[in-house]
Amino acid sequence: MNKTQKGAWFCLINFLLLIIFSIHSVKIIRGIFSPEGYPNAPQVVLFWAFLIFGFMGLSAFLLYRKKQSPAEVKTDERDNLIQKRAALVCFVLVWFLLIISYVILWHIVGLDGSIPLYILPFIYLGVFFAAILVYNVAVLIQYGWGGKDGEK
Amino acid sequence: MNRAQKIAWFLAITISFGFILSCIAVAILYVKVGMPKALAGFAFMGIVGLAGFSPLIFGKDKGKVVFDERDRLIKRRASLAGFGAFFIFSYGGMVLMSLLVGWNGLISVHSVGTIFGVSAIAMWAAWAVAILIQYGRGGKDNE
Repeated sequence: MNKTQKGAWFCLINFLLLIIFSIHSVKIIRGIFSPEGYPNAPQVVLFWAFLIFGFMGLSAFLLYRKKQSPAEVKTDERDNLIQKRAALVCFVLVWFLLIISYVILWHIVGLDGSIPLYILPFIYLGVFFAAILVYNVAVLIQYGWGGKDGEK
Repeated sequence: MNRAQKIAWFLAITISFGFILSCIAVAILYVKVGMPKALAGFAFMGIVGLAGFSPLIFGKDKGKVVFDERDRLIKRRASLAGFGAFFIFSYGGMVLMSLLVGWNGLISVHSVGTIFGVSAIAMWAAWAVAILIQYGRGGKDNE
């Protein structure tokens, strides 16, 4: 498995961990504001923080460890092509999602309707996350999901 | 002049032409019918859509080597410039709106479309300008 694949796998796993944490955090926040409260909230949040930052630290250690030899090739033509294709897919997806979100808003409230401004950062955030997910999946699909040195 | 330069020139010309025509139309309509109807003059920005046909108009370069490491680097930098422009305009538009109406304020749906549209045009303009600057605005074999 080469560096691009490792990067894609780690991004994908971090992303999925963050999604699970986000879903869980809604439950925690609801619990905190409920009459019963959520006594274990700090421990649960700390557990997730350790898990996510621990995995990020491990990813950084494995990805940016010292090369075995200065002559070791970082990326080749094929890696560049794979990254370029993944970026292209990402670019198309970003614009597709932005246009779709605009059409959905138009459909819901009409062209002369109004939406709260705080919706806009959520649209950007959603598009950003989708772009990261699709970029990494596109990289992994092109490499065939694994194999030695990115070969099928 | 290679294919990327031709596309960049076509983009730069259509964007400039659309923008100038829009400004003239808005100025004329402002005198005739006043705001906000005068904003309809920005419909001339639709001319930029013609740039979407540029990959079809300008066919692939002939010759054994049509793309080298330098071209790749130039395109990469231009893409980064385009992404930077998109980021600045989309987030800048959002921040500007927040200053005008506040984070809990309401914005119209066509304002959202305007932010997306302006960001797209800024992105392509930045891409085209970055390509042209890096290639030195033309010349024989880009030298």
